[in-house]
Amino acid sequence: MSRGSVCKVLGNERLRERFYLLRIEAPSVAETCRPGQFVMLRSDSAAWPYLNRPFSIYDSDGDSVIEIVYEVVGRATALMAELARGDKVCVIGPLGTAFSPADDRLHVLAVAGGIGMPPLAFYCKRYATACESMTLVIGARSGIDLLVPVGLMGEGVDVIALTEDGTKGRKGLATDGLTESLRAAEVDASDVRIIACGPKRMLDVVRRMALGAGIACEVSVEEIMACGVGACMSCAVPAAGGGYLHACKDGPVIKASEIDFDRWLAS
Amino acid sequence: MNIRVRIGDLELATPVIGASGLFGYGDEYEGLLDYASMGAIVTKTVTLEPRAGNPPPRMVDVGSGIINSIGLENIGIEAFLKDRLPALALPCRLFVSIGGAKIDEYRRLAGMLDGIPSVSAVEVNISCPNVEQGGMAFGSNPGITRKVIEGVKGETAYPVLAKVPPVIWGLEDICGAAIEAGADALTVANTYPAISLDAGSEKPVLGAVTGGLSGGAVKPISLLLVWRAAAAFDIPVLGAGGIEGPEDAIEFILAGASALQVGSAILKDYTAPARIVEGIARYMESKGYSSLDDFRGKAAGQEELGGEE
Repeated sequence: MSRGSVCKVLGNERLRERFYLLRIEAPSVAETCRPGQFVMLRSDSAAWPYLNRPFSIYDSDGDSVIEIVYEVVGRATALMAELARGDKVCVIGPLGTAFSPADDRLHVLAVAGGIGMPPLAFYCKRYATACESMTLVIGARSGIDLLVPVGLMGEGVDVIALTEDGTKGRKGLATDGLTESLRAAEVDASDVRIIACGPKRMLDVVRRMALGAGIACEVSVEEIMACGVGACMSCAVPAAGGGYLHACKDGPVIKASEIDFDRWLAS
Repeated sequence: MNIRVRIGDLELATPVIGASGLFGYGDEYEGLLDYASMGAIVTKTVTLEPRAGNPPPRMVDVGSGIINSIGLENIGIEAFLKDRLPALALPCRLFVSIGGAKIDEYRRLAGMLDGIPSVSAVEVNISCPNVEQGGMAFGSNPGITRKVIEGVKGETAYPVLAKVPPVIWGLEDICGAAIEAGADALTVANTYPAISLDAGSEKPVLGAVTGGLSGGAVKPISLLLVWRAAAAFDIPVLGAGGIEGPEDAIEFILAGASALQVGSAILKDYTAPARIVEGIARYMESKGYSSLDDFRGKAAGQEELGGEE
């Protein structure tokens, strides 16, 4: 089966400030993708940039449409923001690993930092009713950086939003939200799972907290990626015990214990 | 119309070869790439021992190309032979790229690959740092180049391709040494030393500080190197460096290339090899050519009038 295709843009809505929601007709991705997986994207007509860019999937209707929530951070994403309904994009995917599925005994604590929110929102949507409880902690610098997905609360997800400057939601870091949730969750550590996506410094704090509490933890990692399929070895993430994992093939979702965070943070 | 090419005794179905480093151990692009459009795939460089590679970031997009500093990360020859090679079932030939830190390592690698039926040729990556010479690339010195290629030739009956570094002055000396040592073909050239700096952090972008530039940015320089090498020597030259579409490919053949290595372009467009093959065929039809030999080197051989300044 082909993992790549030229797909039609159904919409590219500016959510606010630097954040956009891209809807793409991509049946082969929509049918099989799992929360945590990503696609490589490029504008069909763009000569620039050189490399495709990876984006985690925010939602899929399971049939034909996928959604990507992205932040304009540089020239490539600025070009992406110009996409309009009817434009074509090259899509490769679904690629990489997914977060482990939830089951009915699990209390899931999902921790998102900034634009780390989309794959966790996808996870929450898919598994909210499949697990014992689901909490999504979202942290951002300021109110304008905070993206809270609509509709999750109605599906039984406990959403906790925090900003560093207190302009929206509670004042604090995403990890402060995690501390509270951990304190509130009076259940056996083996019945809890933490999943996280965000800046690597946040992931480091999250995995330390998980380790301290004896809770299994999966993180979604990011490194500069080129091929997306495990061929070029660009997206290296230091592995526990030496050597490297690759964000595209071993990840993006990796057990926190398999990453050498000290080396990764130093890079 | 015939687009087959010969490299020594080896026949390739098309002149498009996947360059080392971009195609993993062979089949990573399954489901994306039309492998049947390729004459061969060159594996990423395999070394005697596994290598962890360089710290990240290892890749930077400079728009007209990319700079990489993977650091030869690979699983090592033993794991390659045991875990990867037997599982490959490609509809094109497989060339194995080898690299070492010492001359003897190249020799031993060639010996381990010799006689394996799924391997068609050995490409010798002489851009690796030579630990016995203070980390200078083997291929920066004609004498060392000769020793490396001689060692490899002594251990394998397969065609040996010498992949030379992008030497601007003295390219003919390096290529000449490789040919004297018995190289069956030259791959011209490898990536170009380059750096990217971040104005925000005021630091180099790559974890290894410097890397190798490839992609469209290097094409005119690689074309010159191929044009010079093809004019100077009789053995097949495989053109490599920024070949992204049919026009690039045709220019390299006009410069004298026997075959083409497509590398970074695959990151942009996984249909590039098939597009190039189709484009060459269309060009040949429009010009009335029946084989690549009809136009190979047609733009080669003129005297350079010193136009660099």
